[in-house]
Amino acid sequence: MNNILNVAQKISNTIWEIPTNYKQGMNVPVRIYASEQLLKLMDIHVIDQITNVATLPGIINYAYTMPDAHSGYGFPIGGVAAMDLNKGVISPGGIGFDINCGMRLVLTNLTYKDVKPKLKELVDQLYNKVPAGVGGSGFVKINPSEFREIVEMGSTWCIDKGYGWKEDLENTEEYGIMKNANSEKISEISIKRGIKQIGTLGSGNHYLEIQVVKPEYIFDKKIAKTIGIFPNQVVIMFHCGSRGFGHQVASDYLKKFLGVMESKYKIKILDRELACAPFQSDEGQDYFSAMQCAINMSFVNRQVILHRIREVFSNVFKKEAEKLGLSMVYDVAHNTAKIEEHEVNGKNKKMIVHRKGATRAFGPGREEIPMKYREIGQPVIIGGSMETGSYLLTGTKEAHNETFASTAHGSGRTMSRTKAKRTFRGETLFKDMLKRGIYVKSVSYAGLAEEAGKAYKDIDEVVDATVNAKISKRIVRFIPIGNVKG
Amino acid sequence: MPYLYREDISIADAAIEVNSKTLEGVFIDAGKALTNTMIENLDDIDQIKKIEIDVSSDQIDLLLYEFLEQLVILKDSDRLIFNKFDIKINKSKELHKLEATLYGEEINHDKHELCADVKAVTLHKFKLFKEGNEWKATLILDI
Repeated sequence: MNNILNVAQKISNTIWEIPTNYKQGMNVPVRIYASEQLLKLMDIHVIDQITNVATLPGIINYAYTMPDAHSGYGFPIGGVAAMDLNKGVISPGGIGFDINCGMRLVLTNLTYKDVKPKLKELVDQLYNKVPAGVGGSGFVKINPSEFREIVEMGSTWCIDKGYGWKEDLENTEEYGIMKNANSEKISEISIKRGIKQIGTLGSGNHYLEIQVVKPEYIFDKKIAKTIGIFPNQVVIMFHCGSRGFGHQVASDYLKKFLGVMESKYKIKILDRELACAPFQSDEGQDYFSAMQCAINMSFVNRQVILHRIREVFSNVFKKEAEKLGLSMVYDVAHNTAKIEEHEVNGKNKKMIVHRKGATRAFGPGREEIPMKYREIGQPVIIGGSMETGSYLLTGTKEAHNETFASTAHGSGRTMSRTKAKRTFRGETLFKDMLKRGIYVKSVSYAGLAEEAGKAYKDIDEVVDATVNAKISKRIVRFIPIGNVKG
Repeated sequence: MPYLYREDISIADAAIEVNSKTLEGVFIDAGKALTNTMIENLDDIDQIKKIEIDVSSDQIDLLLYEFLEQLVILKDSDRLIFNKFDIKINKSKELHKLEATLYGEEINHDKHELCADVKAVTLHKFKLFKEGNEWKATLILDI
């Protein structure tokens, strides 16, 4: 057990605070959103990392961690920090290398009874159509100048090319396009890394899953109905990001920032992965434009994957995707920095909100979310491990006051990949899951063992903490039945 | 074992400690460790392709970072992975220069047992230093 309970002061059953006198240079206190149980499981490096974040210039109110937080590099995963637009910084380490790694949830009008006899065929075809794992290449063949167009146009490029429906844009954060993306700010190497990867899942915790809505797991029937969810329905959820392109954008600017941070801007940091530049500086603005290119690339990646999913379902069920009801619920981004307006000391203020392994959770009434969700709040998609289940939540008004409208993004690991491979055998896990009604198609058994359910925190405990802290509302829990893993 | 996966440093990513009698040896073993993070058995990689690269940096630890980053770039851009590295490191004026010949092949999903993809080399707790007669490096790879 860690000693976080010794350093964090209890504010409520789900909020803990570390004061500024914990570490020299902290500009704001730290707020940890977690139950006592989750806090006991949290690795101690989270505290070191989030208190380092609290030293960054221009940070507003608190440095936050979400209930699924675990240690990363620079910021912890599940870290949130909002910076003043004029006095604050932008930090690639506060966004993560996999820029706009995110989740997409897709409905069907099929039930478990319809899908069960065709499950293996569906998963096998999805595995063939959506490349996964190290070195996977997508089917979209483009040249570098088309890639530049794609990263400026985001999902709108996909709709123009026939890789999506117009309504998909409305159901994507930012409507699928960050308008200030500027491809002059990205490197040739970053293009080289990403050009073959559109429409690919990647590996690690990236996956594509077929799930079922069990009647007993619909927690808010009215909101579920508004979203289009019904008992025994089959839905599709997937998790992936901007692949090699986004990683290179982050690496390029991390190095640039290290070169100017201290010499030009006199900013001292406690970890090189917290390299940053003033948001209003030339370097800060260049990164902000390049990062938006990576956000767009990731939207495109998930849009092209959705196109392939629609093709597969259409092929297996011999019906058009529209007739199978393959509509998106929403697409949420995990690793971003965005300009948003929030209330600080009774006044509305624009700020740059860094979320690394955290989800934006706008509550009812926010203009940024589509009209159809404006009364219920933004859908928040929480991916669990491949063995346990996932959740659909919605954003709350309270989240705006608590966490600048941020919430958890998944279950969060508790066991290292090496230990997971030593503890679980991929082949045994595959057979066990099959017995429990979950068919997995994975690139390798080694990769499968790394993602065993027991290597993750309890998803229910994580969601309980977000609900109890009022930063999200629980709508539905999904049960996995089929999974494609990188 | 010239390199070791450290479970106490990073949970979600791959933390690796590398030891070698020579500076070049640390670079070679760090390269193997990075590939081994993605491919379960390094012996499954045939040395069919030969690639020459050179990188430079004014700091020796960042030279290692630049070298490893090149391996990640080649994996994504050309789908190449390597298990043999010939390394030469020189210092002229204030600049450390590395010339490397990499031997390997394209990723083959039927032949190579794949593990997690390395997305990036991070600078978090990134170290390269000499202790006694040994060179040591610690690195965390983003998964």
